[in-house]
Amino acid sequence: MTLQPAIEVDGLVHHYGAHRIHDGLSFSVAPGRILGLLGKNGVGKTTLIKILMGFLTPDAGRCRVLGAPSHALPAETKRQIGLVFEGHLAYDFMSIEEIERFTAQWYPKWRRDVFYDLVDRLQLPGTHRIRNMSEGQRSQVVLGLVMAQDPDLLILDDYTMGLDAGYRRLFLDYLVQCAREGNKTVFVTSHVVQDMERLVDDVILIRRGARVLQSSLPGFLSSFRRYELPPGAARGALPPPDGALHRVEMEADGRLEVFAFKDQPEVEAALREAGIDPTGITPQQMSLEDAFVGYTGKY
Amino acid sequence: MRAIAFKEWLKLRSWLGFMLAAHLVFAAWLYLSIRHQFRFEHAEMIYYQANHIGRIFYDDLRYIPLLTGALIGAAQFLPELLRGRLRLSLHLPMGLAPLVLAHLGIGLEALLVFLALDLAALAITIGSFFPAAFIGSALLTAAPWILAGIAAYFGVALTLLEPRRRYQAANLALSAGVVWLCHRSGQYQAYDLVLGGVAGLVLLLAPASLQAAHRFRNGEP
Repeated sequence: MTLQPAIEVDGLVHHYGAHRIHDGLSFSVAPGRILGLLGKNGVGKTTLIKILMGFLTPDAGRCRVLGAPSHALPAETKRQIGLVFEGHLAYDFMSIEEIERFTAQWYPKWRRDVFYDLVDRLQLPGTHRIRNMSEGQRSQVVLGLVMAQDPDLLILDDYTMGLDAGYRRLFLDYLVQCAREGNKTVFVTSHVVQDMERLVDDVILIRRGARVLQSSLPGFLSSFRRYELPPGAARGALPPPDGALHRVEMEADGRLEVFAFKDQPEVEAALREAGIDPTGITPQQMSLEDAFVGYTGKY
Repeated sequence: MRAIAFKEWLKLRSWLGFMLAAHLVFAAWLYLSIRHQFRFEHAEMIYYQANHIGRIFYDDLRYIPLLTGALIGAAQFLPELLRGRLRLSLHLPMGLAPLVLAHLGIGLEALLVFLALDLAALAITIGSFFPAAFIGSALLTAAPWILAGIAAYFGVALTLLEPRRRYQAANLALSAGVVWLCHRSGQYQAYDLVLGGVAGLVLLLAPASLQAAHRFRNGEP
C-alpha cells in the first residue's frame, strides 16, 4: 500500500498581476519527513507557504495538504495541521494560561503536558500576557501550542525571525525531537540555512525561472560539489550558469569557484571546453549554506 | 462557539468595562440634565417645547449607539487584523461562515447589552419626568439611532475584514450611508413607518462580512 503524500503540489501556477511567481511547480512530501524549502528572497517561498497554509488560492494547479485542497481545508484536516506563522503570531491579549485554555478546546488530542513542558522553561507566571513577552519567549509559547495539538503536519514560516541564537537552538532542538518522536511531517522555511542542516531530511530548492530541485539532504550535499581554481585560470568571460557546469563565480581575489553536479574529471572537461584552465583544481568541503549559495547564486 | 466567546471576552473585556462605565455615566447625566431642566423651567414650558416645537430632550443620546457600535467593531476586529492575526482564527477547526458569524454574533450581543442599557436609561428618565405615553414615543424616536449603532458595528467589521482597498472604501461608504439614513430626521418618531425596512437594510451588512472574510482567506489583494 502506498501512503498518501502529506503535501502534494502539482502544476502550481500563481501570478501577482503580470508577475508570474510559480509556473508549474510540482513536488510532494512523504509522511514523516522533515522538509526545508530553500530559495532566495522573491522566488515565491512566502507565496507557496501561503498557498499551503490555505491563505492564498493558486491560479492553477493542484495543492493538496493531507489529502484535502489547501484552500478549502475541512475542519477535521485543519485539526491535524499545526501552523507557525512568520513572527510567531499569537493572540497576544491572552496570558499563558488563557491561551492554553482557549486552544485546548479545539483539539481532542490536546497534550497539556507538552505545552507546559516547553512553557515552564520560561519561568514566567501563568498570568503573564503574551504581548509582554520577548520574541523568543513568544516563540516558545507558539511552539508549545502547535506541539500540544499533536498535529500530523507542521508548516513553519521562517520560525527564526527575531530569535537570537539561544532561542533558535532551543526551538530547533525541541521541534526536531517532537517531530521525530511523533513521526510528524514538517514543512519549514528559514532564512538561516545553517539551521536546516540540523533539522531537515529533505530539501526543496527553488530558483526564479528554473525547475524546482527536490532531494534528500545527504543526496544533495553529496551530488552537488564545489571546486576551487587558483587566480588566473579564466582568461575570458565566465560560462553562463545552468550549462554543463551549474555555476562558475569569481571571488574578489581572482580565485574561481565552480559548482556542479559532476565528478572532478567531468568538471575539468567542461572547464576546458569553456576555455578555462583546470590546472590546480581542488574539491572543497561544503556546508548546506555554501551549497545553497552555490546553487542559487550570490546575486 | 464557547471557545470563540471566551476569546472575544478576553480581547474585549477591558473595552467593555470602560464602555459600561461610560454608559452608566451617560445614563446618570441624561437623568440629571432633564431633572435640571424641570427644576429651572416651568413644566408647562417643557411640555410646550416637547409637544409644539418638537424639541427632543434626550438628543444627546443620538450618537452614543453609533460610537458604541463603531468602538466595539474596532476593538473586536482591529487586533485580529494587525499583522494578519486573523489567520490564526481562520485556521481554527471550523468553517469560515460559522467562524465569522460567531464573531459577529458575540460582538452584536455585547452591543445590544449597551443599547438596551441606553434604552432603559431613556425609559426610566422619561418615565420619571413625563407622562407614561412619552416613554413609547422616546423609544420609537431613539430606535433609528439604535439601528445606526448596529449599522456602525457591522460597517466597521465589514470594512476591516475586507482585504481589497477599493472594496474597503466602498464598504465604508455604504456603511456610512446606512448610518446617515438612520440619522436623516431629527423629528419625534419620524421612522415609525420605515423602521422595519431600515432594520432590514442594517442587517444586510452582516452577511456582506462573509464575502469580505472569504476574500481575506483567499489572499485576494
